[in-house]
Amino acid sequence: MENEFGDFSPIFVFVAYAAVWIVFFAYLYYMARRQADIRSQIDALKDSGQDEKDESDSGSA
Amino acid sequence: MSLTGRRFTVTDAIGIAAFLAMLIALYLAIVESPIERVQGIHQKIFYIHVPTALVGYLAFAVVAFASIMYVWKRTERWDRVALASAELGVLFTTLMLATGSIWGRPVWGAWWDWSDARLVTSLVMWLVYIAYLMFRSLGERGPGTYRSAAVIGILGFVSVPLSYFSIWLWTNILHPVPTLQSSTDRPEGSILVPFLFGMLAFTLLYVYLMSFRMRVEESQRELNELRAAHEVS
Repeated sequence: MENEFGDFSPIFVFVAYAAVWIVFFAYLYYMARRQADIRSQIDALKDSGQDEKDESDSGSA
Repeated sequence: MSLTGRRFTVTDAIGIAAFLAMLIALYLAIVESPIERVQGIHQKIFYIHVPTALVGYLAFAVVAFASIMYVWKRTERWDRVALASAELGVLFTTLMLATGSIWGRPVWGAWWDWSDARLVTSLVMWLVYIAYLMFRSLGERGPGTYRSAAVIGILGFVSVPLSYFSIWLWTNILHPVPTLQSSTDRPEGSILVPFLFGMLAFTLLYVYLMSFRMRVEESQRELNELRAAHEVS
């Protein structure tokens, strides 16, 4: 079925809605991965800092 | 209450509310709203195109407000708000430009038209905030960069009203005056309800993403401070 602007096929509507949902999910996934990566680096730094503190404490004792 | 061992937060509640609101908005737009007489099914893109545009404007207004607050108070938290909101504003505006282009192809017969003031000013606004984010990513983290970014965030906001009011300021072939503001052609409830619900859903999504993005930025700054302390020791 056609109007003066072209066809009435829903493909453009589908692509527009799919693009919005995919972009938001991709952004959330990227942010969640980034947050997990930063947290693991923070934990590693804190652990190594604790180890150094323990070593210096045992050395001074 | 927890599924993964961590506490259930207000951010989680907003995230669930945003997701449910997005699903309901999708149902209302696709199933419940009427098929428009002239544009046909393509008009349904309106229900995502306009909310992404308006939430994009909101995000850039938050950038300007947070930038003013940073210049005034010199509190790093305001800088984090500005950065997070600029990133989300670019995300929403990218979707606005993309969905507008997809809508334009079947209705106007073109993906883009340089003679339409709304299209051109929206692109300029998007480029201004892309430049803002590039400046942020290239500059070193510190008060100097934050201060310069705040100035760009305040001055860059000029592009937002320029985009919004362009349909009244210049000749527009493709963008008419919004139906919601027309005195003679008021929209029916069957169009207004899905539109307003879409606005609610995208605003909730923005609030949720802001909260999430702020948390990532705070963790990043904690990591930078730990690294600096580690290097000193």
